[in-house]
Amino acid sequence: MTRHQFKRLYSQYMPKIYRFIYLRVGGDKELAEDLTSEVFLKAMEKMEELDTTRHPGAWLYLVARNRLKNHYRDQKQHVDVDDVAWYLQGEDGRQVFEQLGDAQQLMQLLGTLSQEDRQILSMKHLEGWSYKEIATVVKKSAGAVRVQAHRALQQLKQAQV
Amino acid sequence: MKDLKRQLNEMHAHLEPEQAFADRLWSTLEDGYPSRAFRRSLWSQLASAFSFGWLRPLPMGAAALSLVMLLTGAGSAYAYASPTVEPDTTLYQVRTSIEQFEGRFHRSPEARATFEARMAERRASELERFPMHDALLRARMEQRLERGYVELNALEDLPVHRERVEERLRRLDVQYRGMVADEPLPEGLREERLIDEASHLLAPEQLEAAPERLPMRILDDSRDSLHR
Repeated sequence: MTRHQFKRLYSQYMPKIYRFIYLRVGGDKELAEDLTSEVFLKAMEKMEELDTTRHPGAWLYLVARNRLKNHYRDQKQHVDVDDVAWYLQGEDGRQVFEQLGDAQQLMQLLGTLSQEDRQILSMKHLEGWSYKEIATVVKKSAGAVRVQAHRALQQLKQAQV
Repeated sequence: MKDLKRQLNEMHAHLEPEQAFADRLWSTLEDGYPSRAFRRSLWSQLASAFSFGWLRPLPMGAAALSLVMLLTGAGSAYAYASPTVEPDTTLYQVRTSIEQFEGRFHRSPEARATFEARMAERRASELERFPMHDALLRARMEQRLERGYVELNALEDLPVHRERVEERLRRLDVQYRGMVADEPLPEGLREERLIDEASHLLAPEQLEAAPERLPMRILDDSRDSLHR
């Protein structure tokens, strides 16, 4: 992978990885930056794996997910990283969307969805992944993911009313 | 539905990483990105260390490309991860460079302390593993012990790491003292050194309480010297 290709990969995925981590460390910006840095350092070390993978985004997502797991394991906290964003809401100094008014309520509603619906909506609308990339992570077709996201949005809309 | 999507979009915008962070991280990654000169030098070193017979049937260009990919990635990963890369070799220098580079990523005190604990353990285990000339080993041990005790202070908030590093340093300390005790030294200097070491290591009352912390020879000599 050339430096130019790596730069392109970095520009494309760094914000997504950062958002993914930021949401799961309760909005601790410094920690999210540290963990994001570690994910990309790992990507650089394992460039031969990155070169051969067809889905670099999904590869990075898994690296980030594992890094988060290790982080919580080091802290001796047993948390599911897919649920952790919702666990941490309201903890001391960790009001991620404090100034966005309705967003708090929306986060709570997101917490009522099934884990997979929540993961898909979070990846699509909060973290910015494409349907194709999400499909690789959740091991479904892009079409199925699109339909599931639409249904989950409708469910959220109904819960809001 | 549109309203809901608008709300989600607002939240998405709120999660944007800071541009300053994005620039800083990229510039750090770019600094550490394997350069062509680095790849070439690593290639020649690894090529002389291993045989690449399996590449011969490939066309020249494909073989070259495969080697570059293999050597830059696998070479660095090998240097970084393998416990058998010995000090004073080029790959060991690659390893320490990667470690220094990695160190720049850990900014929060906690991440920094965890990283330092890992490095402290790695250096201590290298000293235990690699046979070296006595003088060189002793110099490295002194250096390691000195740095190790400084690093321990950084691990106050991580008791588990601290205990592990402390245990290694304790073993190293005993090993080092055993080594120094075997050295033939002029009588006067030996006595001076023993008193100095014993007084640094333990207070006189502790010498009675914890004799297992010193090799017996040093302990006996030190006791005599201190009680004289």
